[in-house]
Amino acid sequence: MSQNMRKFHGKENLIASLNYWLTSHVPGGYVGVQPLPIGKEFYWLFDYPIAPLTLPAVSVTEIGLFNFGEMAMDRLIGFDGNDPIYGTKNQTLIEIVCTDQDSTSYSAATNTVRNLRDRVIDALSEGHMPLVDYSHPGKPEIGYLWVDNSSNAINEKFLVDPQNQNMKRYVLLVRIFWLEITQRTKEKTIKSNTTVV
Amino acid sequence: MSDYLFGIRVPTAEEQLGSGDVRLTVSVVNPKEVKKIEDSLKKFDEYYRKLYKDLVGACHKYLIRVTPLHTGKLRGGWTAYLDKYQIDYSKQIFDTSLYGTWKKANKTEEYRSYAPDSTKVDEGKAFSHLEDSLPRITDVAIENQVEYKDSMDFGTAKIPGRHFTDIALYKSEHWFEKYFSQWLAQMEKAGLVVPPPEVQEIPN
Repeated sequence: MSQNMRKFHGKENLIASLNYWLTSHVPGGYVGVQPLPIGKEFYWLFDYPIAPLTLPAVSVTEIGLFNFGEMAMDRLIGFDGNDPIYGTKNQTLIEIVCTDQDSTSYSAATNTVRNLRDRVIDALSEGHMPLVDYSHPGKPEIGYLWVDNSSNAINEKFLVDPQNQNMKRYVLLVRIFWLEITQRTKEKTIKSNTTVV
Repeated sequence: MSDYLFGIRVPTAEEQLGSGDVRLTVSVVNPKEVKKIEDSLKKFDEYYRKLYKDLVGACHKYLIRVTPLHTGKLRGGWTAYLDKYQIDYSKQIFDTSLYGTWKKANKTEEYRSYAPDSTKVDEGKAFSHLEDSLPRITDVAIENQVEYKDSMDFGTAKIPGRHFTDIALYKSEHWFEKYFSQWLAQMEKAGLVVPPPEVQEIPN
């Protein structure tokens, strides 16, 4: 790799960072198979775009979005004190679906998915989510992810599933931006007081 | 004898003393410049509306291309704006360049096949609802009420959603930003109101 080439830390780190943020900031979730442990209220599922078998559940799947061209390339993204920071701004579209199902003995699915939707939105609105390099033993922060509330950030729809009308789904389409520092900055980390231009 | 200042007669010393306070209002106006400014504003308004209208057309064409295709009925649900302004979308309505890959990846023959049908497109047009405030204000909204639009867009328990409205929305936002900033930069460089750039089709 030539000195001027960018080194991206990859999509895997991006999705892993987002998933970690969600699982640690949305209360009541459980990553695993049945049965749901005591104190847990729903299952987490990742990269599973159709209805899960274990309910209630929140599933997170990347849909993807075009990149910004010039913005996606190595450019000045801010300053750490007086030191310039070069990096990449990019975006993707994440589908988060809260699903639950009514039965003869249970009719709170709609309420449950609304409640899960609120918890997810709360977690996404908490501020910058760290972008972590999981391939590095020290798991350094190499940037951050955020939801830009001013830019059609979250589109949502409540759906009664047409194939199984007992199933209620709250679909959230979340536009995630992320900033990743590139090699030119000698792996500097973005501090919370970094001024982004 | 009286003096004249900018064509206005200034009262003589005697007249001033005789009449107490003297108040003079002088307004300097260059009618040519004012006319130029007025024309520029008019031009700007005209260009702005044209650019907006063309961009909305390009976005609708893109929306058609990213919408799943089988017969074309669902795509027909996006045509109200293009029909109203007689914008040609014959190239886009059965275009598979942005949808073909997903279609090919499907497992069953039924999902893989296309059955483009103009009468089905016309059926879809009946479900295309447009709210258009042009030219009064730049506000246009379209709703596709084809019955299976949400199932295709957001998916079902068994089929993943295609999210074409969201993808088109973000792409359109990007296209608006690109063209408006290009136009503003051109005007800044020229120092006067210039026609906006010609809107191209959104490529992919």
